[in-house]
Amino acid sequence: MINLLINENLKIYLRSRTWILWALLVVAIGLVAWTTLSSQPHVGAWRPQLITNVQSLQTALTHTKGLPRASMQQLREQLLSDRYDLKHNLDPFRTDAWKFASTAANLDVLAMAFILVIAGDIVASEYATGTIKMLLTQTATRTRILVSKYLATLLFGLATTLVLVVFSIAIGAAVFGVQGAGAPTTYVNATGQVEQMGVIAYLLMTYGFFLVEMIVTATIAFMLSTIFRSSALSITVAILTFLVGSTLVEALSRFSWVKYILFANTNLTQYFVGGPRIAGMTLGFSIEMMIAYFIVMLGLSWWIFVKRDVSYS
Amino acid sequence: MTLAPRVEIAHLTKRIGSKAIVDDLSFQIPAGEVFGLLGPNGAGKTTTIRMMVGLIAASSGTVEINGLDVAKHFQQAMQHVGAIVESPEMYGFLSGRQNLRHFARMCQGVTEARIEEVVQQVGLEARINDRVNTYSLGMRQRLGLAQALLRRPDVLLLDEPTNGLDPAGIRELRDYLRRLAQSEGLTVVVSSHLLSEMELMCDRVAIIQSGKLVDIQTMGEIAATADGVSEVSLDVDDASAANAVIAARFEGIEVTTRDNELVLTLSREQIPELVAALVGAGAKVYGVRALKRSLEDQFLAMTGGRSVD
Ligand SMILES: Nc1ncnc2c1ncn2[C@@H]1O[C@H](COP(=O)(O)OP(=O)(O)OP(=O)(O)O)[C@@H](O)[C@H]1O
Ligand SMILES: [Mg+2]
Repeated sequence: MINLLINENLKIYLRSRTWILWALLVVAIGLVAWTTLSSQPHVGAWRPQLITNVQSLQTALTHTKGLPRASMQQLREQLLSDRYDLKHNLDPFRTDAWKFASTAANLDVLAMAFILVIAGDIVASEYATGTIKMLLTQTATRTRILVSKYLATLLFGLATTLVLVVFSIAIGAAVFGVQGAGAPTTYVNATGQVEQMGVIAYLLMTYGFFLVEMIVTATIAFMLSTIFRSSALSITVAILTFLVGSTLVEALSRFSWVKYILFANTNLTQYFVGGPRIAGMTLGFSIEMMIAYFIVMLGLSWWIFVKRDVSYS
Repeated sequence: MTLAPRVEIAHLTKRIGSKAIVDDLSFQIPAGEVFGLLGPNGAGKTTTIRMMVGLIAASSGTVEINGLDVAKHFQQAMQHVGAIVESPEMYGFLSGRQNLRHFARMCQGVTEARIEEVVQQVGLEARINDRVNTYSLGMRQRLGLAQALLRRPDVLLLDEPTNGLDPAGIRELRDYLRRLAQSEGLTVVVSSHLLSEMELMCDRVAIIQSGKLVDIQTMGEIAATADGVSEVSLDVDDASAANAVIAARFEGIEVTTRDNELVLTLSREQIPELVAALVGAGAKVYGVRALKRSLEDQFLAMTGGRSVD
């Protein structure tokens, strides 16, 4: 089993594609650093800047109509935390490595897309190249081969997340410097209260929940990869599902049945920051839904992979 | 000897929909035999080999390797099998050696030294560290063979192994397989529609058509025809004079004349008789040749000369 896992990992990391994706991720972090640096107000000028922000947020909230519920809520949260910062004399623009890392965490969407590329390819590519015949005519059973591919996918997901975290902090440190454990992050909690959390704790929470989301989403791509046997198709469908899925959930958030859609449940951050997107959802419910989907998707992949005749690819 | 057969196929059948693409196939292959699967395109050779290595589940029937059912004891059975199914696809972004290491990791007891050994056996030392993307078809075929030999199998399954090999490579492969079969008792199953290939390589050949076993022929039997009658070609100086002698000696015999070559069908005993008669009549005989009916003729006769069906 460990040998199979080594094989699958080698097939990921000996391809230049993997390193190109990671390089792109690092370049993206660099771009975020550059943007952050150039949009920083002059030292000491943060109060007037923040006051302007609060005013324009207020105008937006009172005069704009027809914005989706979720966007309105986002603006409202921003307003709440800006006011909190003003009141407590906290400079929200002051950036250090930690603060920057939590900004760069927004690149998790990009990281996820890259993870889906590998997850959607890992089974399908064996069919596309015909190497599946060689792979399945050694002595390893199909179940073991599939398990090793799945584990390699998750390991790649973890590694990509680490690349994002480590390079965000490193680039942040190089550009903005490190100031102790960093200033606390201001955010709106699930009950609408403004709170502060140590920036490292905030980072850990963000990435912890990202890993949960990553596992579930990568499993979708992995399942599609076994079903379609075409890398292009499974990668495209997986990324589209990932992007459209959460947008769809936002758009349909007034219907309560939406809570049974997988994507309403994958982001557990909602139970700690901002509150659940659909009224009545709980952390326990979301975990149960994810586990149910997870079992169905893995069961289906396994069943198809083990039972299917490998004839003309 | 009453050794159990290395490969035993019993009532192997594959149905897709209502069509049986392999239909009730049964045969046994002992150790050390090179066994051919011969049939026109679409006969079901590849399908049979795919079922033998578990890529396709049989609709009914069994495949046993060393007495182990491939469907039930996949791991143990496959430990004794090396295979190339259709073209030998490898990971193009890896080197030949990395590919072999990859497959070596998947089974028990293949050492780095063994990898070195098979690379030499298939004659790929010079290019083994290059990426497979840069290989020619024949080089891929050699690498595929190296892969199949890695775990010292008892049974080697090769689907169209000469595909893409140059004449020297084909000859080399043929000699190599024969040598392995003879010296190490390896059982080899090759499929092909190249009849001449099969004749030179195999001990026995199963002729398959439309998924059904038509016949199993031993190669030795093919040279000698059933009732000892063979076609003979004579090279003479004067065809018409010779024809007259033959007509006088063997009444009613049919002779085909082409320039100074006469072709006629005789029993073995009649051949010296004919030569003596011709010489006695003053004809000059430059050559006498027994024309073997080739496997190709037999094959075409058996399958009715049709190809794809
Ligand atoms: N998945 C499939 N669905 C339907 N028919 C199939 C399938 N796979 C194979 N066949 C049919 O089964 C028959 C046998 O195919 P197979 O590939 O085994 O032939 P073959 O003897 O290897 O031919 P060739 O000499 O061309 O390689 C063909 O008629 C083919 O069309
Ligand atoms: Mg074939």
